[in-house]
Amino acid sequence: MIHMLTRRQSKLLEMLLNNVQGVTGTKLAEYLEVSSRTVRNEISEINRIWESESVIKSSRQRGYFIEPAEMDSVRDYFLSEKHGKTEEELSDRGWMILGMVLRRGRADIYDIGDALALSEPAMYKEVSRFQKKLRQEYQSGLLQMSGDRLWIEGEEADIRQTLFRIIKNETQNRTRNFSWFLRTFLQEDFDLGEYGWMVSLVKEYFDGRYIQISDDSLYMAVSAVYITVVRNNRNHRVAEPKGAASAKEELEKFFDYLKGQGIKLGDGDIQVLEGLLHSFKMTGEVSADSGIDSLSIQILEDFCHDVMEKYHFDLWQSQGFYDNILIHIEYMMQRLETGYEVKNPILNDVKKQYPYAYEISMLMVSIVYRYKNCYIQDDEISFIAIFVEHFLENVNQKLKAVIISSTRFSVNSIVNNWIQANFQNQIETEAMLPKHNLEQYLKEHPVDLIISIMDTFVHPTVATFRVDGIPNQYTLTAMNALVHKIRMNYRFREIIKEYFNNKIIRIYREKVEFEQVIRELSAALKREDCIFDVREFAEDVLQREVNYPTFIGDWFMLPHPLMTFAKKTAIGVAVLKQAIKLQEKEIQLVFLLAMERKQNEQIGVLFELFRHMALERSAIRCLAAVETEEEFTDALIRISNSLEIC
Amino acid sequence: MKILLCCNAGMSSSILVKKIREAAEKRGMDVTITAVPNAAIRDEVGKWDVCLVGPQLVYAVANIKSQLNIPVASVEPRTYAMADGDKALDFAISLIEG
Repeated sequence: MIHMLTRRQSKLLEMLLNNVQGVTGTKLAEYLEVSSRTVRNEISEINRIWESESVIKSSRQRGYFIEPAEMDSVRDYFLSEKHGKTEEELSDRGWMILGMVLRRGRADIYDIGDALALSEPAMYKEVSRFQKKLRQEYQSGLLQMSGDRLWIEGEEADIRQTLFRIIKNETQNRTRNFSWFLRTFLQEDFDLGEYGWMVSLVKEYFDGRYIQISDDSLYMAVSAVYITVVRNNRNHRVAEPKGAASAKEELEKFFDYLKGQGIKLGDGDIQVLEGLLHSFKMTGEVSADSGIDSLSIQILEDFCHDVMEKYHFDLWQSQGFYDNILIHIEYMMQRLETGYEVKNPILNDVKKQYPYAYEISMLMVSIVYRYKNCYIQDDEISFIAIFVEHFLENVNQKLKAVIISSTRFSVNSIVNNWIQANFQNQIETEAMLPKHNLEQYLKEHPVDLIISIMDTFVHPTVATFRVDGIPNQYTLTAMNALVHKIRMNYRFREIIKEYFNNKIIRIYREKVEFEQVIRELSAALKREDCIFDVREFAEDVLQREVNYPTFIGDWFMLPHPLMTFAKKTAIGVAVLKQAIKLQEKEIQLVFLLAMERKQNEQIGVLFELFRHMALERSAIRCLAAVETEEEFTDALIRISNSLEIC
Repeated sequence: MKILLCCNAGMSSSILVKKIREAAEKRGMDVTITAVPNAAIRDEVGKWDVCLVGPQLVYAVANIKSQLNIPVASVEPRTYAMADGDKALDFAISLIEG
């Protein structure tokens, strides 16, 4: 028995279901914003529809309440799929029409109308409304109507792809589940047992490989394979692709497994399926190194770069965060390529709750456009925003600031409030101190930034910001620039620490030949297990110098091999107290690069530093003056902080 | 013809750039060529016909290709090592004619 209630009636019934002790007529009228007369009418209407004596009873003490014997049937009503879905019910009809036409290929509008109990004008209206939906949401002209004929139009591959996209999207919106769509699209070809068998088959495949895929991915994969099999059985075949199909390795294994289980798949079938499954996470533990397209890395690097430039956050600072968002971007790009973009059901929540993270994530739009000539959707941006929000909340380290207080207390609080209002994601005020307490405080606490108010004080090593009056637009710009600089300095510090190692720094006090320096540094690199073979490495470096000398400026050389790659990227250093004279240059500093055979953006950052450093006489002098290996790295970090790079 | 040469720090290929330019002049070809570091590739989109990559960057070929959307290939190590402008130019032409 299907009860068709209006929205108001079902609201009323639900209210009673939630208040079994009973609700007075006045309260119901208030709740529904109608007169108590309407309440009485609605109740008798519900009782009439329910076709039982009376589902809603009333008493003087309790008001209206649900007859206990009917409690189950009311509850079932609300649990059943039909409830509260009057709008969706209309679009359900569209899917049903599509399913029937799919099954028959061509159909008569009257026959379908008959089957759905719809009059002819209602059918026309329904079909044209549904065609519009398909065009708008799926850019598809799958269902065609002319006169009283309905038919399916398009290449089989496109038909399947559209069906996959429909199922993927609609199930994500949670209007209907996977088996409902299969039953609707495949009609009597759908067999629940067969479907269950296929689910267990696919599940077994992934479980056996310790691959965790989401529920949605599992059912979507099964649905797609099922549709493929049924369409083939009905002789709707996909043309064989020209040239060999080239599935990704993991996907190839999956298809081979299905074939091994007796599921017949042709190359054409596989190509269509691949388009869909390509966008799924199907490998086990994805590490950032394996299987990530270099374009994804590039896009993330651009994103990190732009975020640093515009918002001064260092997304590089956590490897874990970087790897996670990289994997997300990899799948985002795959979705973009295959046209299976995902909806984010909480899109509007994300926009409302994390407006700042969303704004930052918008940077992704122009980056993707640059490489792919298409715009990513709001839904994808909102997924990125969730990552960025996580970063802001949990990963980002705010700069620890102390304010050197002015004698005028009102100014202190103005400045502090200004920091709170404009830099809440960047700066944390840890303390407000008089100047004479600062040194003591710095000994006991880490401080990134000193803010001095109405004072000419500047600290020699800790970044200092001077506020000379009430903060204005210029103060804001200046503070942003300083925050950016501090972030960049920290980034340099981390990168330098990563690639420079005291054990491959050598200080030569006596006169020495260039060739000897290279051989000794190569040997040091080998001892640290950074390169494979000392001889091969050193020969390549020296050979290269013959044709392409690596001088930068007059005092610095950056030798590196042309063809020999390293085991682990590292930089050897030679400090030459007695300059080596080569081609009228007086070399005081040599950095020997050993580089791995892979993309490394950090090395690009270092090159930028080296170029600036090489042209600064004072920088080279300062580095050449160090007496111990330990001093060298510190000096290099200091120089990276003082040069105006980027 | 517009040739972009890409290498690690953008410093070592100036000699090859010079040699290719000379080779082109000898043949009376109109060639624009410049060298950029790997990191600066993103500013070069849409400006070039073909991109040659230094042998120390062979792993980056696919990446550069996806950014520039033009023929990209790594210069044969020997050609690069000897700074053979003629061979490098031939190679660039063969990439375009593909």
